[in-house]
Formats: sequence, C-alpha cells, structure tokens
Amino acid sequence: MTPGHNVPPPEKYEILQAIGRGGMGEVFLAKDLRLERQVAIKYIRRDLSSASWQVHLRQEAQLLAKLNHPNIVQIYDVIEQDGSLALVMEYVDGRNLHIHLRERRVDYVELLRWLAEIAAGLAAAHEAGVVHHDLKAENVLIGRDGVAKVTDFGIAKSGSDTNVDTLALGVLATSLLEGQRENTPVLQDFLRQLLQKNSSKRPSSHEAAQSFHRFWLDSTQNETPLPSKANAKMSPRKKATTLVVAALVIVAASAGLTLWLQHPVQHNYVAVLPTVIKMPGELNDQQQLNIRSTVQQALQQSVMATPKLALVSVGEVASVEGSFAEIARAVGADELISSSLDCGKSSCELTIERLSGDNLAVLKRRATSILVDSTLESYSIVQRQWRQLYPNSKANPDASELITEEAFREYLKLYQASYVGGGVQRETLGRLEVLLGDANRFLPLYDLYAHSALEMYDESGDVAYLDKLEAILTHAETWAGNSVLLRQSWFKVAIARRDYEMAAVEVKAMEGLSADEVLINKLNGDLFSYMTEYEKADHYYMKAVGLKPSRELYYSMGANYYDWGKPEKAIATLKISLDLYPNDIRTLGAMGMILMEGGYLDEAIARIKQSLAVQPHALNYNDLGLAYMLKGDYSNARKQFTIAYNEGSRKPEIILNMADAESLLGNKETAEQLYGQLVAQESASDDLVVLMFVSQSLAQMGLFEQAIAVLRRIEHNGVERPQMAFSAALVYTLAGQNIAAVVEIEQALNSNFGAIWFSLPWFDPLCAEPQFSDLLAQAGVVDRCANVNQYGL
Amino acid sequence: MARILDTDTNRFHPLRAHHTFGRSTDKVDTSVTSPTASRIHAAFQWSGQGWQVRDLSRNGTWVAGVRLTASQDVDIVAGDEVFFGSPDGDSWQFVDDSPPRSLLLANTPDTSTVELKPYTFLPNEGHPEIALTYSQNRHCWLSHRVEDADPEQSERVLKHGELLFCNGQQWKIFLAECENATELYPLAENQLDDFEFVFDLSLDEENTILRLERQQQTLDMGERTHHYLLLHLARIRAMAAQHGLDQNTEGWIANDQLSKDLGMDMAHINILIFRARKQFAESSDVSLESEHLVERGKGRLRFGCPRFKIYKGQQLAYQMPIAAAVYA
Repeated sequence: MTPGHNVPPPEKYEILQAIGRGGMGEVFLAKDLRLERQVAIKYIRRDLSSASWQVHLRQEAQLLAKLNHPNIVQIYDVIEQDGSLALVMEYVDGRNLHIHLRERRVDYVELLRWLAEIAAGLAAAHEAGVVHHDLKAENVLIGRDGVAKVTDFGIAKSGSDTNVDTLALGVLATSLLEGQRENTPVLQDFLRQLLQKNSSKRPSSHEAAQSFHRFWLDSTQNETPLPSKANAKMSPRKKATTLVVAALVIVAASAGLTLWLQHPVQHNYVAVLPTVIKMPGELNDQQQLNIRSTVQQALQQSVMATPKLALVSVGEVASVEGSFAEIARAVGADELISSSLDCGKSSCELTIERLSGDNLAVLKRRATSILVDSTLESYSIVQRQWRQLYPNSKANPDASELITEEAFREYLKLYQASYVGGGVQRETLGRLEVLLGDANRFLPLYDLYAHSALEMYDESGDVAYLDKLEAILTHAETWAGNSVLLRQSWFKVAIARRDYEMAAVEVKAMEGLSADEVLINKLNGDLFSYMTEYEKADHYYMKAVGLKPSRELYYSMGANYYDWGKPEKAIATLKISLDLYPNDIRTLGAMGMILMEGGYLDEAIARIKQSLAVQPHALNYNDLGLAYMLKGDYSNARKQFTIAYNEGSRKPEIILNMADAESLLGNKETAEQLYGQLVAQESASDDLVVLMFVSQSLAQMGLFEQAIAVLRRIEHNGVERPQMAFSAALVYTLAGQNIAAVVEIEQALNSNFGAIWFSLPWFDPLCAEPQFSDLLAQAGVVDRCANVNQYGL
Repeated sequence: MARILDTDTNRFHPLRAHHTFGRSTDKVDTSVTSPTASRIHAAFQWSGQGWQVRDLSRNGTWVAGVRLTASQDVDIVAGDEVFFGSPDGDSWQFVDDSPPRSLLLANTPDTSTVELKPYTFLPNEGHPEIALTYSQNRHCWLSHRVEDADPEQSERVLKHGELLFCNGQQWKIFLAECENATELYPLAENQLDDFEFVFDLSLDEENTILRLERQQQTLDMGERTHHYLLLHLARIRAMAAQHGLDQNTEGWIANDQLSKDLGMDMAHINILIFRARKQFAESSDVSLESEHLVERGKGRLRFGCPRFKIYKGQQLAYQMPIAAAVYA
C-alpha cells in the first residue's frame, strides 16, 4: 500500500496500513525492518514543506529524538524522499483524546490523571528546549494502557516561549473539566491561572504537572463516610452495615491453610500502614500506584496467612492519622507494618519494618530490591520477606504459581479502580470472573469479587449480585478450601440476604476454625443488632470491647444503642470513645447526628464544629447546615450548605439541602432551579438513596405524579419502608395526601426515625390530622401544631 | 460523500470523519433506537484512505455478517451491511464509502443541500449575501455577511449541528471534522509572499490582467472583474511608499474612500474580495494562501502583498518594493 501522495515508501520501512490523518499529514502503521518493530510514519504534507521549514523541522525532530519520556510520543527517525519529509515515531495503539472521549463515558479521576501526564510530558519537553505550539486533544494519544502521550511537538512553528503551551494546557483542561461536579474551587482557580492573559503569571509546565498530580491524588481519596441527612433519613443501622463491610474487607487466606488450634486464641492484631514512596525516581504515577498497591497487598495477605495474626482492615487504617502509637491505639493494633520505597529508574529499594510493643519500636527490618514493572515478581518477593519478619509463619505457595503477570496486573487495575478510583463498576465483576477462570486459587480475586458484588448489591438492591457471589464463593471453597476468611464472606452474604440463621451458622463455623475471639464477639454483636435483638448485641459488643477496645467497636456499640432507641446511651458510648481517641471525626459526626435527631441542636452544633476544626470536610458542613435547618436558622443553614457545595462535594444530597434551605427562606425561584438541577442530574441514577432525593425534588417542584412514580420504583427494588419513609411522607404531604403521609410517619417513628425531622414547616399541613401531633408528642416532639391552625397555616 | 442508510426509516445519514452511533440522543452523531444498542455503540472512522468500524458496545456490532471484536478497527466498504446490538435487528447499509464531506444540510423543503467548500456563497454566486470560508489558522469554518462594512466583525464560527439562515432558506451545519482538526481539503499554503503580482492594466482602465511570478513559475490568473479592485489597492499602497511612508505599516485606504473611488458600496467590494480569495484558493496549478490577499483594519483595507508591478499600457506605472536604495 502506498501513501496518498506520490512519495515512494522508504526502503527501511514497510508500510502496512493507513491509520489516520494528523494535522500535518497522513499517518501510516509501518514495520521497521531492521529493528523488527512497529512504528508510525507521518508524512508531512508537501505544501507545508517549504525549504526553511524543513530545516526547522529537522532540528526540532533531532531535539525531540533525544527526549525519552513516557508521556511523549517518541521520534525515532526523520527521513526524506524527494523533498518531502516524514517522521518515524513510536506507534501508539490507541486513539487521540478527542476521539477517546467521544467514544466512552468520562471518568473524572482519569481526566485528572491524563492532565497530569500531559503536563509531565510538556515539562520534559520544555526542559529540553522544545515548545509544542499546538497542544490540543487531537495531539494527545491514549494507548491501550490508558496512558496519555503528547505528539506533534514543535511542528507547528518555531519559538521558545513555553508559555503558549501552558495556555493551551489550560484551554484543554478547561474544556475537559468544564461543568464536572467534582471540580473543587482550588482546581478551578488553578485553571484560571493557566488561562491568564499575562503569560508571565502563568504557572510553568512543571508546576502544572505537580498541581495536576496532586489534584489527581486528591480525587482518588475515599471520602470517610459520615452521617448526613441521607443517612439521618435512614436507620443508622445502614451506616453500621457499611462499617461491617468495610471492616471485613480484603478477605484473603492462603490456599488450604486452616487454623486447627485447641482453644480460641486471642490473635495479635496487625495493621499494615499505607506504603510510602520516599523517592519516586523516574516512575510515573501509574507505576507508583501499582508498586504501592502490590507491596501493600502482599503484606496484607501475608498477615492473613500467618497463624495467630489478625489483620486490621484497610479502611480502618486509611482513615487514621497521627503517630504510630496513636494509630495503633485507634485501630486496636498490637503491631504495625510500615513499608517505604526508594526508587530509581526501573527498580526500587523496599524497606519493611515490623513495629511492636508499647512504644512500637522497630522489632525487625528487611530491605530488598524490586523491579518496577515486574509486579507479580515483586509481590512474590514481599511474600518471601515476610518469613524473615515473622519466623513462625508458614511457607505459602508463591503467588507466581497461582496467577500470571498479565492477569495480576489486570487484578491490580481492577483493585485500584474499586478502592481508589470512582468505585466498583459493573464490568469489574465480569472481568474478575474471567480472571478466576484461570487463576482460581489466587484468593485476592475472590476478595475483590466479594467486595465488589456486595457494593453493587448495596447500591442497586439487585439480588442477582448475591446469587453470583454465592456461586463464586462455592467455587472458592472447592479450589481454595475452607478458612475463617471465606466464612466471613459467607457471613456478609447472609446478612445482605437478611438470612440471620445462616449468618449465625457462619459465626459458629468461624468459631470452629478458631477465629480470633474479638472478631467472633463483634460479629455476634452485629448479627443480633440486625435481628433487632439489641440487648444480646450489646452483651457481645461489651465482651469485644473488654478484650480489645477500638474506635470501630465503640462505633458499632453506639449505633446499636441508637437503633435500640437509647440515644443517651449511644452518646455516652461515643463519649468514651472520644476520650480514648479524641478528634475522631467519624465518632464526632455520629454524635452530632444523634444529638441532632434527639433535638439537642445546640450540642449537636458544638460537636459538628469540633469535627470541622479537625477536618473541614464538605459532609461536616452539610451536617452543620442540617442542624441549623432543624433549629429554624435557615439563613445559616444555607450558608453551610453553600460551603459544603463549594468545598467540592457536588453530591446530590447537598444540592437537595441547598434547595430546601432556599425554599424555607422563601426563595421559590432559586429553590426550583436547584431542585430542577438535581432532577436533571440524577434521574438516571441507579442509586436508590439518590432516587429518594429525586422524588423529594420532584414533589417540591409540584410534579407529584412523577415523584410518586419514583417512589414506586424505589419500593419495587425492595428498599425497606422505614428507610424511604421520610421521603415518602414529604412527597405525600406536598401532594396533599395527608392520610398516606401520616401512615408513613408512623412507620418511620416506629423504626426510631428522628421525630424532629417532621417539625420542618413543610409538614405543617398535616396538623389538620390530629394523629400527626399525637404521634410526634409520643416521640418527644411536643406542641408541634401549637402555632399552626387547623388548616395547616 | 460517505453515507449510511437506515433501512428502518429509509433515511440517509452523511458520515463525519469520526462518527458515532448509539442509543444516546445527545452523545452520538446518529442515534439508533434499538433497545439492544448501547448508549455509545460503535464508531466509524475515516483513515485517510478508507473507512473502518469499531465496536464499543455490550451486545455487539455486525459488519458484513461478521461480529466485530470489541474496540478493534475493521475495514468496511460500500455495500456492507451493519447491525447494532443484534444480528436480526434493523439493518444499516453503508452505501457510499467515499471521503466524508462537510455540508449544509437542507432543513426546510425550500432549501437544497450545499456542499461546504471554501468560499461558498449563499444563497448563490450571483447575488451573495453570505460568504463561507475556512480559516487555516483557526481550524474552523467562518461565515460572513457580505454587506457588512467590516465582515470580520460579523463573522461567526460555524459549529456542527447549528442552523444557518439565509434568504428564507435554512440549513443544518454538518461538519465532517470535529473542531480543531484540520479540514480535508487540500488547503495547501503556498505563501503569497513568494510571488510577485504583475498587473497589466489597459489604458482605459477597463481591463486588468493579472499574473503571478516567481523564479521558476508564472501563474496566469486571467482577467477578472475583481482584479481591478486588487490593482487599485496595490496602487494605493505603492503611492504611500512613494510619499516616503513606511512600506511595512502604511498603504491603507479607508472604506469610504475606496467606495468613492470605485463607485461601489461595501457590500459589492466585499463580494469582490471574497471572489478574489476564492479564485486564489481554487487555483488549480498551485494552491495559494488567500487569507492575506487583502488586509482588513478598522474601517480600512490594504493590499496584502508587498511585491508587485503595475503596468499601464506598456509602461511600468507602480511597483513595490521601491527600487531605489539610498545609501547614506
């Protein structure tokens, strides 16, 4: 095949096919016959090839050829035929960013990562004295590995002003991120800086690279789940459920190892601290993420495979800050494992320390070298180091015998996407099933599957996910044998199905396997709490706390009291927790919410403010806004919601809260606009909680039929009545269906839902029903209808 | 012009250089109503030499009877049948595999579809109201209202999917290329600076013949009505130079003055300028960069080329740059 114009193909390369048209000319896939590799050849349009310009181009190409950077498309050669130039460059199997975005849904986290990569490429080029001059989405290629590479450097024109590139970067970033609700004000400010007219005030490409890198990292942090209006409108049991799931995450066991011990032994709790990269060397962001992930997981699984050790959950460790001693105390760990990486070009020095004792001194230290791109090999190396740290641990099969490098890499990617990225995707499960087909003894796959399936079930309420999970767990038993950790997964499935008998069986099974005593007690506590046998649950929690106190246990205990209808005891428990672990924002948040529900609004406000002082988080501001709203201080409420919104959390519930505040302030138009925005944004959501917000918004906009239709949809998906009771009550009240509304309210109050929520003015029309004020009075809200006449005015 | 036929509705859809199909109505170029289709189901792409299809869906895409491997490019030629989502749903016929073209699609019964080429006049060449051009620098199509004194003021960037109105007709803008990509036309850029303009004006100033010369080449531009305009502008520029004014920055003429000189209103002048640019852009021997043929300033114009000779009869009347070099 020959190119379009009359330039014969050069001898060293064999043209294979046309792969597109760049701005400067047609591009062909070719084979480098000497080096036997694929290359791309770009023929520069003849009309663009004036003599002087060719000289320039050749110079640029020479500079670029020296540049070797993962985010720049490499130039290998410049060839000339009959006065026409062609560039031989790295073949990137993929599309340009513009087309890539047209073909798939946008992932916000990925956009930020690409911007960081593009900026990194620019920075490298600028350092080498090359200016791009024509940076745009069409000149960024996304390869199969998802990494962005910049192409067509310096071809547009010559010059040395690097600021034109940073401007172009700003334009590109703005066009990509425009309107995304996850944009933080800091990010928006940075984009403005890039777009400044005064070029000397623009950040350099190096600064841009660092900034986007930071923005990307920030966006991958999991938000700590805090109680908020959404959860206030549901039983806090749901929050505790999430805690249970989070706590038992990363369930892995060595193949076939069972713990047959004579009597229940209290295990040593080990927390694996997040791996720190001390020197990133030449590693790009993805490589850093991969290597950290690999080391951490290998360590975590080694803990689980070691007799008499219990692993503190990843979620627990990730949400704590402070000195080693403080962390250990907060999560209830007896020992800590810290790891750090010092990286160079293609390898890293890994240091692992085992910290133990009251002052968590270094008991043992290991140092070793690992190669950057051999993830599976690195994993195995870490596994082998473990035996030096814990001499009584058994030899376990090397991961490389259980899974291939390629499959492991994909597993890492899926793992990162599920935990670090935007969350579990539907496709994750399919991919894991495929991987399990071959690597059926590699237990982390089962863990990830369990975590993903449970999360998908949580969100959608579709039991099909649980069915599939059970099939996979059965599969796991066949191939990997029985273990405490496997039983824990079964326990979670049973809870999700509300099959408490089966859950109890699982706990017994774990006892038979000599699982850690604290764990058994906690699980029993959780189980009885779900079964609403609060007293029994309390008994088990007390036992657990007696053995090994931790924030999480106190939190579960507090939630149990709350559900039991004993808010004072809940608060007392959380206070104890705060004495031991001061400034724990999750505890403070829970306290704030319970106080709020109990009507102790001033104290709630004080606690939430305390929480804000520790970490100004959007959800805290949201809770504060709710407290003000219940107090009747709508102006302050709106202020807090606005801060929450601007702090970067464009969560639908915050939009709803803002709309509600405006409505209560009498700003109908603004309120309508916001309700409308929420509906437009979220009507296609699969998340049942979000749909509750949609139904409320529709009702507030007067679209009662649609609102009720959404309620039916939620109901249909098997959501428990108490959880949607508030939304349903509100919708019916606004729609004028008073009787139906009161029925909902009764149901809600019977499930210990906070009566104070019904003191909001929207419910005034219900004062026409005598039952309404009676119900509320019984629940502790007296004189609800005192200032409201019989017409609800 | 590449097209695909939806056999269900019997409608032809022109294809863009990158063209997506899917259930989503706002995210894709052509929507497919089948329930088995994904929101973004498949993409067609012009490689520069031929067409390829790529499957992006959950349920699959079939081309010429074969189900595609996801995300892999597969060649497709005219005559091939395409199925989205299931092999027994509605069939789509790829009827024309020629290169994609930008168009103005007729949006009312009174309108007819027009191919978008640089220097297209609407509603027609004879009595243009709107001139459509393509800007190489900005990689976009522009529309100008001819009657405006300064058409650049009223210029509008054409965006795919927007509507264009003129003289009771209505079109929908169909751009084969996405924004920022370079159009496919061989809008090559031989610099006008390389050439010297040679005007041959008849003594009675009724006829102007123009040719362009450079070292190895002479381009005969023939005799056109718009050449007189160019000549006059060149003349003004030369006179400014003769009066000692800086040759690089001077030589402008105010619109009003030009209007008087030529006895034409600005609309007419603008039409001539566009026609001149069109001629240069479409010149068959060598494509010439034509945006700078006439420079525009605030309410004034200038001839864009600094090298020319004007012969009146047989005599050299004006030239630039001025020959005399003064040595201090």
